[in-house]
Amino acid sequence: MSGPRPLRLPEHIVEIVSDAGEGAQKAALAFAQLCAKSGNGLWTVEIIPSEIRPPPHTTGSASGNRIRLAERARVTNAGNRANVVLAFNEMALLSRLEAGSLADDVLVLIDDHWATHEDEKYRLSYREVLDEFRSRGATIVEVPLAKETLRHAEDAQQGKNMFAVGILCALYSKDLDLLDDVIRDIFKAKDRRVIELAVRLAAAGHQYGVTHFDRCFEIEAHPSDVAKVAMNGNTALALGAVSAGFEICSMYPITPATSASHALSEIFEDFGGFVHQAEDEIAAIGVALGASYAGKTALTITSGPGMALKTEFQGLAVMTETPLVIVDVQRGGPSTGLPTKIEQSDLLHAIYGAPGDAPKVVIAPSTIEECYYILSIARKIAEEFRMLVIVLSDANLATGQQLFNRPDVSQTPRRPPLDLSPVAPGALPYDWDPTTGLSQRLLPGQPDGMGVTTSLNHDRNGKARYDAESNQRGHAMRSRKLAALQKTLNPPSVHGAPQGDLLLVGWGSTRGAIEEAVDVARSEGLSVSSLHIQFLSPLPPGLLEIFARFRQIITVELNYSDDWNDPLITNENRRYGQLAWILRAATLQDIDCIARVPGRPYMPVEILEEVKRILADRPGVASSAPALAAGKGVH
Amino acid sequence: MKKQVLQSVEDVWRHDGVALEDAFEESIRELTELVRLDEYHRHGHDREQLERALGPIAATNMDIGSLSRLLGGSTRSRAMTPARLHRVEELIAGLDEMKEAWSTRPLDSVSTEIENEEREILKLAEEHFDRIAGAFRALRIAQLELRAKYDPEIHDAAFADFTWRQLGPAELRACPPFVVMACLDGDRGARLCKVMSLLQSGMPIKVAALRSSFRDVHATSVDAGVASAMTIETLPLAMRGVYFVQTCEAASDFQRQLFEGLTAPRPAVISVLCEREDEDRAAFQSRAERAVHARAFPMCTYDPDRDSRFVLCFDLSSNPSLDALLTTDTLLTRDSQGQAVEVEEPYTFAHFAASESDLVGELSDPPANDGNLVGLTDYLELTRRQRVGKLPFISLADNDGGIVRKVISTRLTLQCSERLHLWRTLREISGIDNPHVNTTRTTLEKELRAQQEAQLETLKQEMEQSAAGREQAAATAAIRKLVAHLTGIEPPGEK
Amino acid sequence: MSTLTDLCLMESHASEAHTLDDYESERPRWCSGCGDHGVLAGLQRVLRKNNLDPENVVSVSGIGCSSRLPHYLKTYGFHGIHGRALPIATGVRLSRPELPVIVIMGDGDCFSIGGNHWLHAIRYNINAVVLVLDNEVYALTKMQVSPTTPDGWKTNTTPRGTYLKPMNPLSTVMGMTNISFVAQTATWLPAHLDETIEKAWEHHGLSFVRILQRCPVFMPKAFGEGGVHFPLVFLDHDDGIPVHPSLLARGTVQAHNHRDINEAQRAAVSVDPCPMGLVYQDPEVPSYEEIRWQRQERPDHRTFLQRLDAVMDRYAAG
Repeated sequence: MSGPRPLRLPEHIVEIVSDAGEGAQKAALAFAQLCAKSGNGLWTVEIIPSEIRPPPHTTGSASGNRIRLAERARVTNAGNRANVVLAFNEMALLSRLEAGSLADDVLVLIDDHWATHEDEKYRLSYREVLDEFRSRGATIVEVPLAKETLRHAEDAQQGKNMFAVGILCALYSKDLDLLDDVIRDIFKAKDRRVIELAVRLAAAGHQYGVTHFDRCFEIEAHPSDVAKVAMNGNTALALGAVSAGFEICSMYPITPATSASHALSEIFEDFGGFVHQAEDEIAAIGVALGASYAGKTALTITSGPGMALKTEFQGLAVMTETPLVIVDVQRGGPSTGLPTKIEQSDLLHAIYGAPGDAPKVVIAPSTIEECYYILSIARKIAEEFRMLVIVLSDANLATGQQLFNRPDVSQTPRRPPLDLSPVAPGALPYDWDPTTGLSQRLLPGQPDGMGVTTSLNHDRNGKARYDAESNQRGHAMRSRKLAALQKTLNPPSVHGAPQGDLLLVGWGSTRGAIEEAVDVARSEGLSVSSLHIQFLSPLPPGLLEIFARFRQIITVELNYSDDWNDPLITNENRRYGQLAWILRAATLQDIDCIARVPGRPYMPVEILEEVKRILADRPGVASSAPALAAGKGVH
Repeated sequence: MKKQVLQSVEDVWRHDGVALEDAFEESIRELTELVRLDEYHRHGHDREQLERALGPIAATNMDIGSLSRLLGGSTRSRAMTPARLHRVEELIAGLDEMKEAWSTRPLDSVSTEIENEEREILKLAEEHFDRIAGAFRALRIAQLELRAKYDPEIHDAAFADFTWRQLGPAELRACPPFVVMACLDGDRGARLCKVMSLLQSGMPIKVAALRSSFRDVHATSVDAGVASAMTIETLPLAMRGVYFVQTCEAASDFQRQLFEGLTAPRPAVISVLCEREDEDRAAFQSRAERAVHARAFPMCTYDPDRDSRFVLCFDLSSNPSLDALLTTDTLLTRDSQGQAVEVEEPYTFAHFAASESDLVGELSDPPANDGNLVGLTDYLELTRRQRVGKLPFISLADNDGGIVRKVISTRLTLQCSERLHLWRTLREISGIDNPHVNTTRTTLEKELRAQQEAQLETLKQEMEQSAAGREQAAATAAIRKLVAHLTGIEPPGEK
Repeated sequence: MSTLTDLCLMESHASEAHTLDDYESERPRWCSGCGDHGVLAGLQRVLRKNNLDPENVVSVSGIGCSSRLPHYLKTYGFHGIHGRALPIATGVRLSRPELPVIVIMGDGDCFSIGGNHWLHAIRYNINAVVLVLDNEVYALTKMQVSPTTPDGWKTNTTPRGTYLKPMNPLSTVMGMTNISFVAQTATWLPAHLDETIEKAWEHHGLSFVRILQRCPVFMPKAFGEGGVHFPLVFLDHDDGIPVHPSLLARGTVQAHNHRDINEAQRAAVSVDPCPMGLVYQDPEVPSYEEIRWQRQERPDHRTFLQRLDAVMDRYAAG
């Protein structure tokens, strides 16, 4: 095969966008699988149109995928601005520019169909958009996508995407035979003719790329013999729920949590479980609580607005010490906010939302792999400590796809049977260990354990009590359990050097971007490290010691904080990011924050720029005019 | 027929066997879960187990050793005592063995013949029932252990000597039956006595008493009417705790009746009419029906558990024409003019005997001088003195569409009389017929009728009186109006 | 449980017959004259009659005077939050279908804040006895109007009289899909109350029973001075709630076919005289937990792992 010598790179970011329904997602799927099969590390993110039925050929209708492929096996976030974009029309292309998602010198591959379209409006916008890109330094390669597709297929709409994959295969010097296998696998349920057509189109695209492109890339790949899987965070949660031994998941539809319930609904009945869709969010948690009370710890999955509705029941779970697990797949708030966008702003609500003092466990997975395992941890804590455990995921983990080591299913332990043995005489329903607050649960069906579980204040007998002493004790015991759990936690490990000028602290899905930024900063000689917290309530031990070794502590989180430069904002009234707020209170340190609400993940480069700015400024004060979210609007 | 009964026995055995196997399996499964739970209590929060339960990423943020120490103590305190665990494990092994044994058990040791030595039969029965008792013992202990209610101090002794006598009625019902086959043809009483003797043991033995001939059915007494020998149908009076059913294929629910008998939770006698050696099925079917119609083989069921009152336990409803002593047959003949005419003829044992090969010899042609012939039913009403010189006869249809008379022997007459008396007795003990009740009923009917007539009379009188009164009032009113109209003066008191 | 093991359980237990005391956990603290006492007694009697082990019964309530009942009934009781007893009960039924469930609510609890759950629970037809103790007021919080407070009645939130006609819970229920048992009774008719609870217990499905109850403290004049001047019509059928002759003093008797939905709807709509007895029953409606459990498989552990592995295969990459 003739062609240019490929440029070797450690990684690249490609975006494939089209109108909804034109198959960019399938093209992306094929390309991603091709990269995975050849041994690249991957992180992919869906690009979702903001509305259900946007008019076609507009920026609002762009749909597709971003694929970050790398030489290294572990890719932890969606990366910085894209290097290559393959667009089926110029409005989809423009939308990516508006999202701030493309590098200035991006390589644009675009269907030239619109250049000579009969409708003048399209010809005009096509020229204008491409001019805009050129003025920013982009390289434009016009590809006759539709025209070439029509040479093999009758309907260009139904084949462009496969031709496009072929092009990318050529651009990235991938093996066409491997692509052939991938396509056959993806379409295996389809008619033979469809499969053959797809394969032919891909080959044609590949041939086109090889003969026409003046450049190509090679992202080296190292196929490993370690079995891997790729899935998004919601699917990981669903599979994790099965392996954790849950039997009942009760939910109400809400974006972006619902796909977890869909995934679970498909398979749960084969594993002895079921998904119950309740009449509203409150009933959903009510059913889960009832099921847990009866002995089988249950799960409910929701997002921010659902958490608000469930608050009273959360208090009930805490007061009655009924084990329960809630998964909150966070989204843009407040109120209906940005249902499909990424934010992590339910932290304070999760910890403090219920009225009265209702201590509960809050944990946050930071990778998709963790989403699979975290429910086993949540369930064990919920059952053994008789606590409510809230798992905070977000739309970033929910919709992103990561390659990770295939979990060893054979290690999944069996659920122990329900303990319905008669209760020892004198056993109390809240037999609090005075040191730890832990007590054994009595399950319906256990002889001699009858009694009422009440939402009122109660004593060890479970009897309603109204006096000061019993109220104090009840609070103390429920609170003590958090301390007992905290005693079993490890201090978090620092990424980078154990001491330095700046420590970035994060939680949830920002980990990948933060650590990547820190790695780059360190390679440039900057004294910065990072810390990621999984347990937010209780906080892990050792924070004070760790913080003491750094000049500045700054949290990086996707929730709102006032900007120091905003009018009226002073020391006395500035509102901090949520983790910063908690850490300030817990450690009495002047911890600052990088906390904004762009509706999309931070790019490592954005964090790096902030770090540089902070280290250049006076220590102790967070940056003014941060460089984040430079693009117009949001994804 | 013997085969049919044995088939039923097999069916019941299979049904009970399946239930037992299910019970074994369920108990084994639940006990095994109990052991698994105990294993979890002992080791579920050991460090390695906890690591497995929490998954590979937990160790980053959690000190699993510390968590194990925190949780392990209270979990371990819920473990069973070693003594109980040992008992449960032994019990599981025992139940496993029993389950194996039951699924391979052959069927014929479950039934035996009356001819064998009584001692032998009772020994076999005892072995069988104690084996079953062993199974129930294990199942009961399993339930106690599952609920942690087994207390060695109380229960070791209670279960040490556990025989069939400790079984409850529902458990007995679930016991696969031990069947003794007894053929009663030609029995002068010895075999029936042996049956009763076996039942005296109290063991829930099932006796299948089969007969195919009516030759010697209890007509040994010299006196007309009542036999001094015991009849199997009145066994319930002598042994009120024994379930009794007499049935044959003439009953529409024959199979069910067999089943009920074989699964009764008490000793039972199942009396069945069987076909002869080479008898054709269809022929036997119609023979059985005739036997029932003739009251030769009255079908009845006595279920002591149905009610506390005897009469309600005794059920004759399978028989036709319950309210009559005899069923009737319709014979076609021609009268003197040659016209077709139907004649009603009561169907007695003698009529039935005419079609029985071993009894037909008891019928003979009437003598030429038929002046002394008396119809059988009338003959049976005569006193001994009145019967002198008379010959009882019955009318049968002959092959040419006519009617022929046959004289019946003394022996056969005695049998007829005996069967009729039995039927009457059965009706009385099942409460269908009772002379006292009949008298009371007649008296009551008379009184009621008299009352009704009196009431009617009173009503009639009242009506007549009130009609007369109204007439009077209407006439008065009419006159008043007329006067008013004529004189123009409104009379006082109107409106 | 197979019949045989059940038998053995019974035989080996030397079945203790439970007494009424076995079902009482502490002295009820309701006001003297409160109808809740009668309902508690009725429940205890039905449990004793069926000789249920107290540990195998779950009672769930919301918030209100009547919702204190689980404190006094010796079962596994759950005294939850206002209006939310039914979802909790549904959860119990879904996870432990072998445990019978009794739900106790008040009129505000069920018809007002719990209204949404009430309607849906009926459609789910969970197998449970659902008793609504309707005293037509919010008593625990000291006399606020409830959806069933009579027209023009003065309460603390409607001191010049209520504004709207009260809702008719029976006719509301009759409009819902999957209804399987609807009955009405009153605490001042103790025998009728007991029989109704008994019938509700025997029914397989959601047995909705509205129990009229006069609060002696806040609504002493309700229901015509507690039933004295309150015309009733007793719905009569061989399979319905028996109408004892003594009840004839309280109202009339009307033959009623509770299997006929149209007749039931007509009966439900009438409020004067007030219908008492079994309004509607259909024993064939399946319950939600049955439907879900039937479709479920409970694989053994090995199969579980195999299946999980097979699911994981779908996501294999690289």
